[in-house]
Amino acid sequence: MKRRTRHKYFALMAPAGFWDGRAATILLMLVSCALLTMSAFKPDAFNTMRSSAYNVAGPLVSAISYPFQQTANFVRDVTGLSGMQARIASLEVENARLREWYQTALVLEEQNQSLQALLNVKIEPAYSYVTTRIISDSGNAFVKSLLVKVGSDDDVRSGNPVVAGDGLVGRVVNTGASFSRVLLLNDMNSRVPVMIEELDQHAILAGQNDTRPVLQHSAKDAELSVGMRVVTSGIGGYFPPGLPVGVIAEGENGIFKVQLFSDLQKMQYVRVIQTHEDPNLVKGVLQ
Amino acid sequence: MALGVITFSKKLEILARFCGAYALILGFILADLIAFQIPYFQNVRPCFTVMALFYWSIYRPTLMPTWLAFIIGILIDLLSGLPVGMNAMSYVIVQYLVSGQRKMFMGQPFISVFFGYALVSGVVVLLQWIIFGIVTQIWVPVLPVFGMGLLGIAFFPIALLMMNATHKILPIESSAMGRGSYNTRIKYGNR
Repeated sequence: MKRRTRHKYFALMAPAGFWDGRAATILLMLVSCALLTMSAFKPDAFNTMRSSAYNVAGPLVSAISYPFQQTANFVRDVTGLSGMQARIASLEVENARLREWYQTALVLEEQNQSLQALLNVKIEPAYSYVTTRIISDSGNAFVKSLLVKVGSDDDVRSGNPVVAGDGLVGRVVNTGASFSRVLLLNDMNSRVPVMIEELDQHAILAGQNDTRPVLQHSAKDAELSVGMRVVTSGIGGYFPPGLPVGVIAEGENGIFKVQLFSDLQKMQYVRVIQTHEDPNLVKGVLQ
Repeated sequence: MALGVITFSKKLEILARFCGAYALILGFILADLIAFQIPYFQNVRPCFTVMALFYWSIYRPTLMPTWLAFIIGILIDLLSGLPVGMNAMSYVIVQYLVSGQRKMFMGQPFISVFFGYALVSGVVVLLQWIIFGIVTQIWVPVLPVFGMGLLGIAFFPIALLMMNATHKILPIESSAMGRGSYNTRIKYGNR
């Protein structure tokens, strides 16, 4: 039998069995340590590698996740039949209420426009959206993020807010050509400037790797209570003001949690708000 | 058929068998990434890749060498948004420790292998928790992390069945028991 031989240059670089032995393990552990050190001090250094990984693996992950999503839809449809009648009744009541508010909203919009013209208020440009499917759920005990099927080719940029259903979901943190990663609101690295609508109080919505993020840095004398609406404040320039986030759900020892409007467990499609970079914002040391 | 004489069609057949094994490994990697749409599953998602790593490090180390474990770890880190190197380091350590204990696991009944995996699963999640905490300075709650490990232990028997079935179609490896050498000769045959 013809014995298989290795290329002579490879034989010089690594003796036989090198890559299977203890030396390889030690070398790869050292490389891992170096990568972790770089992740700790310069996490943005791997953005290009991440984008490339999204572009390469994204199509495969997207194709594999599609049947699972269709199955989940089917199961949801079947199990939802039993509650459909009650759901229809509640929707009819809500529809009737919203129709009453519709006329009021038209009147208020006209008054708002005339008052803004009178005060010469500078109106912020309307934002455009792109709707996309979630193809990967990177959620585990450590990170809460999603991979979506839009990227820089679709004019999506890092920092763009992402909404789903009834409210804010997170923001884009990495973009590839056709895929992007979204950091969810309940991730421990997520910090969103918000405002409690009824009180006009500013706070920071901080993720806890839990289903409900907490409100931090609110005024000590702010009388927060369960049921108050939380919206984005627009401070920092990343999130447009007024995006619905959730309602205050519980609070003890001065810590209030927020029940998000969007159900992060059941999302399949999200919308990315294509905000444009504000030239007045300069990137500093804290990013 | 004389030993060592492998025709082109036999080589294709052997290649197809190995592709089946690698396709299963790829399936486990994708299971760590895709959205299953199961409520609250993402909080305690088990690490399917570690199951493949554990099994093939024992029964076929040449199928899961150290460098492949490293690359898979890097890939998962990049796609998941985790610190790059976190899964790579834990997979390399697990692969080294498990493959070094091959002699202990080979020929053992299911229950021994199951408990061995349970131990490895606990070590992996604890290692990942420590690495994540040191690198990011964020110490996530321990309970969901151990939930990941426990769910992995619960799913392991199903994964074991799948990997056993795939292992049966692989040709017999003629290398001596150990880490496997580069110049392994493949002998055609069925288990």
